[in-house]
Amino acid sequence: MTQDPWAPVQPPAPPAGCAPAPQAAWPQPAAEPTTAWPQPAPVAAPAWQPAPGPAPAGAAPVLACDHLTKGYGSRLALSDVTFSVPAGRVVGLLGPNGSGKTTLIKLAAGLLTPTSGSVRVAGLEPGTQTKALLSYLPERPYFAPSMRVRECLAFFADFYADFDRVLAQDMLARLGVPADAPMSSLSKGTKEKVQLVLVMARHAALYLLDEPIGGVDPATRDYILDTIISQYHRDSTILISTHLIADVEPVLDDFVFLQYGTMVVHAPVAFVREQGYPSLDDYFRRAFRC
Amino acid sequence: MLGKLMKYDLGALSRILIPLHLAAVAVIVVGAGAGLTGHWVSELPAGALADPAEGAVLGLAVLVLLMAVLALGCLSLATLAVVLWRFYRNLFTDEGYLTLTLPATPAQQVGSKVLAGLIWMVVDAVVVFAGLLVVMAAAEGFGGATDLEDTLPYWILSYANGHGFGGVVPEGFLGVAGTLLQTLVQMAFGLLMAYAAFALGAALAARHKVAAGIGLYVALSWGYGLLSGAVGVLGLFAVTGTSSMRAYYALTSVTGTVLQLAACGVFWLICVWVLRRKVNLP
Repeated sequence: MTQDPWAPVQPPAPPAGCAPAPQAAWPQPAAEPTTAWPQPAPVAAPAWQPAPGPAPAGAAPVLACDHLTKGYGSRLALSDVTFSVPAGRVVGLLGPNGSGKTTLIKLAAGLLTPTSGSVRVAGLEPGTQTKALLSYLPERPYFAPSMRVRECLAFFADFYADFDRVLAQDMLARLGVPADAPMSSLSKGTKEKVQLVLVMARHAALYLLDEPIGGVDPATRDYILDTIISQYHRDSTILISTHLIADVEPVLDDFVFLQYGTMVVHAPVAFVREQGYPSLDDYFRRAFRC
Repeated sequence: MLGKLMKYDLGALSRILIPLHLAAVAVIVVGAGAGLTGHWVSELPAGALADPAEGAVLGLAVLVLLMAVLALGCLSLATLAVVLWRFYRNLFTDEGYLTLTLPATPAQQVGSKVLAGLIWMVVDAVVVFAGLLVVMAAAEGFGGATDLEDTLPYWILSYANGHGFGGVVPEGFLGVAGTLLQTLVQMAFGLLMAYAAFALGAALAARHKVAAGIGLYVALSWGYGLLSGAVGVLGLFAVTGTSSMRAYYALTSVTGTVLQLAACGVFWLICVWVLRRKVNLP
């Protein structure tokens, strides 16, 4: 059962060492004064955007988390997270460092098993079938340094039936990446671009992008975001995890805020402006001020 | 899917092991040259070479020949190390983000690594064995009174000639085939035990995962040694009263192989379980 994205959620207590902002400084539910934590209210979706929220009856959401919890020993990296994402949305998975974004993406990608609760991709538990449906870009370079760019292309073409090799070659050619260059000879930014091109050249139902723009220069960030938006299929869903909110905000339809492993809010981006915040970045800075 | 995984595993291993084994072939050629040189000098008529020169040449030939044999021994260790490193790096380091998100089951992932590793271990064994044969035959001048039994370790030939274990091993092809099968089982056993140790190390240790894997390998070896020793002692009681060492050797040989096969199954399950449990990659 998916959580109502409009339900009010109290911000969780910060861990020791990070003094919580005074309650008056936290945005409060709508009944409180202007510094109040914004109460998500049901809003009609803008005409140019599909309505967010649960998928139409009979269609499984592309990604559904149900009381998802992941612990490492006594530490909870994710606690009771529940939300679902329908097809055709670009969703930002936002939050400060250590909020559980990467853990949630790894759970959806099938790299971790939940401690309790469940995560489903297109109605299926993570496994061989879901790995064929989703395209995952981790935070780190994952090709062997000795592999050449053309070998990486061949690798993706071999294992993924939905991989568009011609598209990938075209994008790499426009980037000026030599096909015979070993991955070890490429700069960090170019490696990220190569990996992104390979991931986005798949016609996947769900793209999981973990910090795709972290650690690269602004020009590369723009290129990456342009590539993401121009190459993904409009009936696919993209989940972008990042803490660089200002950069990704223009491309997002919805956002999910995580903090200390719990989900704070899940709403369309338009909601933030309707609450009087100039931007999602501003909302985040006020809501998560430490 | 298994075929595709094996293609890339074999490709990655070949990238390192082909040059290594080509270098070994060069070492074999050099070793054989040293052996032939030593044989030729020793066959010269007395006084053909001045004493210091003859001594120096012979000494150098012996040294080069010994180094060649040592290098072939190191080749086997290097092959195992490369195979194990590929297993660990491809599954439990950053490369795991790619490998473990492929649409392949844990059994296929492990199966691919085992088969690719075994193939290269067999290739390595052939190169090392053939290399030793060539070097030793060269030291005998590749001819004359050379008898194969004089150049190869006797116990290997005993299998083929039916003299091993009191003659219980059949002669000829069946005996050699049985020996090869046992050797293959032993290779698979050693490989799977190492895989299981490193997989457990990656799953259970928060830090120093490789060191944990090495420690677990020692522990598993020790544990298996105790178990096979106990089986050996039980075998003594089982053959008491019958005639003997022949029956004992036959029993322990067969039970040893069966025990190793069972251990292979256990280690396989451990590897698949670790991948299913999903190690948190760095």
